[in-house]
Amino acid sequence: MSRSSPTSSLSRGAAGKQAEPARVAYGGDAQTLRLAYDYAPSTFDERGTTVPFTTPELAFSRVRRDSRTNHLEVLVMGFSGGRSIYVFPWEGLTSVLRLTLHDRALQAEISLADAITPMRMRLAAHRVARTGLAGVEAAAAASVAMERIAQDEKLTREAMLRRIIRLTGVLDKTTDDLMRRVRGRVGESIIVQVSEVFAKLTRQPSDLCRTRLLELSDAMGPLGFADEEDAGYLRRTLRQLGDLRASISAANIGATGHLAAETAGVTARMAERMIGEIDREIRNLPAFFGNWETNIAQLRHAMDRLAWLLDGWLDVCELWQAAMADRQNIDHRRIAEIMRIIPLVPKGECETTVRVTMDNLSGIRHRIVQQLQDWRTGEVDYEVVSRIEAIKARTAVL
Amino acid sequence: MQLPERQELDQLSEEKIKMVYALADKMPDGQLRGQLKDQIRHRLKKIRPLRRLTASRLFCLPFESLLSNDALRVRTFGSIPRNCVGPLWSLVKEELPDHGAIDRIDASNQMLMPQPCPMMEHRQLLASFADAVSRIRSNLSSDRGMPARLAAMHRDLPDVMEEVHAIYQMRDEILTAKRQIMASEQLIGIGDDYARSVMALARQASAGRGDQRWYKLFFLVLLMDEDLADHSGALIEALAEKSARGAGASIASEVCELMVAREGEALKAGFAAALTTPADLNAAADQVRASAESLGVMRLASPHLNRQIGESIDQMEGRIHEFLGGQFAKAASASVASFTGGPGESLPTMDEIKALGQTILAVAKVQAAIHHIYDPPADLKELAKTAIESVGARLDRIAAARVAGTMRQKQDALAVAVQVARSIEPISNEETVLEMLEDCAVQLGFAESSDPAQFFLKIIHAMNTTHE
Repeated sequence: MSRSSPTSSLSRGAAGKQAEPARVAYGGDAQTLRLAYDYAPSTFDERGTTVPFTTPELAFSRVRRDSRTNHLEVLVMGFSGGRSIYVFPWEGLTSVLRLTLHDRALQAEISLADAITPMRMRLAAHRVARTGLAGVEAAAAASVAMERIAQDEKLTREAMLRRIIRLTGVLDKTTDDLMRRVRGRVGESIIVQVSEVFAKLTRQPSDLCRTRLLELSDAMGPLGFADEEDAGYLRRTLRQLGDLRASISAANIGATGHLAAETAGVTARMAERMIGEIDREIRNLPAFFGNWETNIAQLRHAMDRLAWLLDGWLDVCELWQAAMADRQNIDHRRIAEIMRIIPLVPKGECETTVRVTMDNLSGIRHRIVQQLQDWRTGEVDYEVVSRIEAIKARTAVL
Repeated sequence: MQLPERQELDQLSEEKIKMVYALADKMPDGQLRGQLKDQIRHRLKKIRPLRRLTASRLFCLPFESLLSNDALRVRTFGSIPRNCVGPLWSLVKEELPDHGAIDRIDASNQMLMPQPCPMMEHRQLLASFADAVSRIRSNLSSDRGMPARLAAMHRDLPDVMEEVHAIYQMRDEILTAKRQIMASEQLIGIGDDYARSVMALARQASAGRGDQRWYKLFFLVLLMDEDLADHSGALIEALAEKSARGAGASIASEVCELMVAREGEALKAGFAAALTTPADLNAAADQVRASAESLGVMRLASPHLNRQIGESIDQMEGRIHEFLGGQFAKAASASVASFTGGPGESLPTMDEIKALGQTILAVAKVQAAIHHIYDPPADLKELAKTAIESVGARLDRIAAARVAGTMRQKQDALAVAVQVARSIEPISNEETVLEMLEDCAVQLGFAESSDPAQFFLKIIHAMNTTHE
């Protein structure tokens, strides 16, 4: 186990002792708050993916791959009540901590599915939650979420076909009529017909074109198309993030809230920009197909980045709602928990015009980290486990 | 009018209790109102519903944490009987030059905000209350007949008046200390140094009084405040160190003694409550945990305190041990037995599993709470052991009855086994609970593996199969 920054170099170099924070100040424009962050990761890979563990000490921790050894490792914030981020080897986690049954199952599933990106993690988490190991509510929510994923995929495919039908004017029917048919049983045959005509338009073999249409709709599934109502998990997450920012700003809870709202705001702005770029790319489908290999790779990369960027924010939304459930009696412990887990935008992933206030945030995070293990017994606090399971159930259904 | 029984009220949800409280607040008969509130006060402490702002509540705000329901005992320093508030408030009202402001407050229909930063209008009122209390206190020392007149209204009123006066005089410093402690939680400015700052505020507030009681009251108001409960350890520690360095009479000892007495009262009330449902068991476990933590904090400071404090803590912990080995273990056993004694082959309902889970959680809570003090009582230990065995036996019966069943029946049984295993997890070690689950799964034909990771993967596959 090492205790250090989430950056690879520090995590290995500072094993067993706490590294001194290396403050780096960044300049910015007038609208941008000055930033410098301690131990801030450089890339999403370094930041890792949030793992929906229910063991309190591991709640909201992150998993990533050590690029040198190719082994997985877990980043745990405030494990000792100190200020460091602890880095545990993935396989040795059970020798350090007692995990809940759910977490042991999740660990096995993540290893098997190599679920270290947010999208894979989401699927792995739902599969494990469906066993009921995180409670019946989480199991039911995971089932709903899996159905929603399937529904999102179907809607995205239909939306893409409608675009192509409009584009090619391929079928001898009115658009409305076609819309209905796309949703009906003949959907498969329409894909064949459409891809044939679209293949001529793009001068590609029709089989290849069909495969690519399906690949594109698969790639767009998590985001959906811009003009589709309630489309895509990532767009819905972004909406929640916007609501969160507005809610935190309106609550006016002081410096901590200000920093949380700023971080949410910067993340939302970055996500909006990224989504705007994807939407623009995908608008001209013939051009997209014309340079397929490059474009699909870029799309997948952009989608991954977007998922990384928004990773962890639903947990923050849930904690915020719980903290503010009674507005007359704000639960400041949960606010502190938010500050512990709030997903910082990695330095290397920040756009040049966006440098978030991480200096203060980082300082505050150092002060708020709390021990979650029962300090007298070292036993798992199952009340906290229940609370985390409830969060898990609520965030699954988006 | 007949008031509902406490047991009936205990069955109500938090939302309903809030409604009952709002209705009680509007009852015209003061005595009935008080009785009804007393019945639900133990739950109000936890639920903390919004309260209507009245002038009398505003008056009580500075010393609210010292209010005590126990009117039978001989009053201890720093404990203000709730039934003393009525006569106290009527005395203060007589001294107020203008009733317009308090009438406006009563008619405002606002809610009492719990923030430690009163509104400007309220600050002015608090200042006028302070003046009124000051005048009464001054009369008390100059008018020889007045103590007797006050005592006729309430036997503790003269002493209470002294303490309320002291608190009112120190209210700004107390509020500042409270704000600083809370700010330390919100991470603004004060950070971990709040204990030192609070000590300085206490010295400032009580300076020149020639009376250590003011100093003690300052800390009692803060230490008894439930909002600040998490910080009491640091405060007591700071106070104890200061007392030790001063080598004089230990103020910390006296403050702790009062707090131990308070814990005793709370425990007495908690132990008297019925333990008929898992929710009751959890409430009792919460009470035990809170008391054990509070006593633990004082024990940490005990090297700096009088020996008597240590003895009082020992006594209290002895009572907790007795309660857990007796009433608590018995009620928890009965609750577990109602699950394990269910019809052998039928699947337990989700409500039954939930009840089992709550009971086990209560047992785990108390085990964790007393772990640092002593071994769990034998009956409680035995309960934990037999619970695991008997729950495992019921799962075996359920699985055995479905060996030849359909895949759907087996999946349902496995789903139940997973939930039951989760319920038992808090008092079981990993291997035991895993074995229990694996035995059941193997009987149902789902999985067999010497590697826990492989076993879990098989379970995940089995529970996802129908959906894939």
